Amino acid sequence: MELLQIDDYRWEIKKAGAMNVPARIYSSTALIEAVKQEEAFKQLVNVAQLPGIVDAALAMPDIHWGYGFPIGGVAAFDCDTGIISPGGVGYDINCGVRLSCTKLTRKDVEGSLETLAVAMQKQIPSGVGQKGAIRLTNSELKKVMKQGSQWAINQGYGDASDGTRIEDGGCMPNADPDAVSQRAMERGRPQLGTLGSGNHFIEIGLVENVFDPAAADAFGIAEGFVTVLLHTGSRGLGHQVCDDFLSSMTRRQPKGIRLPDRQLACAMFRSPEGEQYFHAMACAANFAWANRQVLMHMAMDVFMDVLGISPRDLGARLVYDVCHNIAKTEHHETAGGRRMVCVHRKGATRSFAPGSSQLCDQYKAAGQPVLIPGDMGTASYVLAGTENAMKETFGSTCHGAGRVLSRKAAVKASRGRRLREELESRGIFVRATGKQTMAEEMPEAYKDVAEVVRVAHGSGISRKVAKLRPIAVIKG
Amino acid sequence: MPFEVIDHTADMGIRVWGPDLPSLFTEAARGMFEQITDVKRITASRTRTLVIEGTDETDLLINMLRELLYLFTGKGLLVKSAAIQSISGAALTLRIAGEKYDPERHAIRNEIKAVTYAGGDIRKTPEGLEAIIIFDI
Repeated sequence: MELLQIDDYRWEIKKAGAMNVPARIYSSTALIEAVKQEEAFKQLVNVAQLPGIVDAALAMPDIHWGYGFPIGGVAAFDCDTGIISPGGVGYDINCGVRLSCTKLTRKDVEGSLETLAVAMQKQIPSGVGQKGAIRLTNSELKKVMKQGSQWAINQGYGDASDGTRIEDGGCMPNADPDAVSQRAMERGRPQLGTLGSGNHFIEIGLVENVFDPAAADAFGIAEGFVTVLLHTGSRGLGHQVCDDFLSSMTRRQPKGIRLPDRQLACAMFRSPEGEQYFHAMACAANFAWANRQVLMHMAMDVFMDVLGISPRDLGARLVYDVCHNIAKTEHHETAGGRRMVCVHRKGATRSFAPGSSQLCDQYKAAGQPVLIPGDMGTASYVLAGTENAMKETFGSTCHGAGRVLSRKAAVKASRGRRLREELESRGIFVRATGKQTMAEEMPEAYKDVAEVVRVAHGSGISRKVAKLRPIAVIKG
Repeated sequence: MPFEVIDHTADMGIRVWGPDLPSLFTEAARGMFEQITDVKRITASRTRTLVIEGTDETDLLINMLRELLYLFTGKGLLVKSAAIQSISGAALTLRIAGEKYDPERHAIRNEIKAVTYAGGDIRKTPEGLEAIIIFDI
């Protein structure tokens, strides 16, 4: 397996052996060395062997070792001759990021940051085993799975116009609750309105730099304003949907498909099992959108309570909501002409170009907002989708910094350090529920997000719009 | 110490070993619940018998762990011990003991989302058997 450098931002592994297509990696000399130490490239080569894969198996700049599919991987499969794979989406279906911008500035929150962080941690259920404040019956849960964000909007969470600024309008239409197991529903039912643990978070930040004023203006963000970025997904419901279908597909692999890794278990997209997974996955995706809709509303309530201000003073407006673990049917130009493909994005974000029919009028000229969370100590970014992404990556880009240290290594590296105090001295208040979360999620455990974004911008698969600096972080 | 935590960049894994299949499976269950909470602090106040099926021994091991994880994530039951009563290539019977999760007494160490197939097959070693299990967290 030879890694060929094409230019400053592109590497390629030529098609060989059982590969149906080559593999292409977006990276830099600074990032690629760490990836070479892991199994990620081998995993990308495995993905390139799956039936019906179109053009190339792609790795975004934040690629790292997952299982089955690498994280930061994008693969499109022909809908008629290709597969769909639960492992190509991941356990946390529609794990994603949502950003709102307020009219508040630094001086409005400066004296209250710690109170805000503590109140958020108290009001918003996070960590493990926490139940949400929303009690759902099974039939109401089915509505959540059918309607996504709109269900939450109907219940009074957020603004009626939010749906226009969410990927897919916050609802995948092909959701069929009958495809979801009782177990998945049992796990999901108490968890609507919960953040979860690990790398899930709520980040209060400031818009520090604007690189593209026209796009920032369209997105409603401007230098100096306070933002709220939240990262979570479909909770136990999505985990169980993935687990159910991975297991059943492992037992019933389509004839003639030789899997290099059990975790790549898949079904033909046009097969009863493939369709059933797609319908169940959409249910989990919709649950995740409803979850983020509820949580952002709760976060804004905390702002108003703590600061004693009205919704008008707060002036919160949803910028966008993206998913980064998903499979979708989309039309793309491919080497074989324009066709419908099933794009798997596992740890990757949609990056649709200006003019896309998927965008609301206000965002048409700028392109789709792409939200890139960093680690809790550095920065997060807002990017925009590009024409180049449509041409090269099925309209996809990176999703975050990506880990470089295992959790075990991070805990070891943090011994003897007072992470919370270190971050506080840099003006970042962090509150974490999990015992080991602070150490596991330390900034050094992640790739340099600025370098990941530089590659995404330099290669043209998205372009920089603004940089956000965290001032308070609530971790699950 | 018949299991140890191993490094995995994005997730978490354990290496488990034992002289034979029943001990390997028992240790794997303990290894998983040690990642979830301090097993010493779980009491054995409830017991249950489970029958697990699988296509081969590795599939059986993963399915057992998936089932035990579901007992926690779906039913709120923490498992202290899992004794294998019978095991063949395609099925096993196990007797588990544990108690209901109580946030006041049980600190949760990690939220395990799922047990994956990524660790590969059960291997023979000079001492017996060994398996690597990767959890999605």
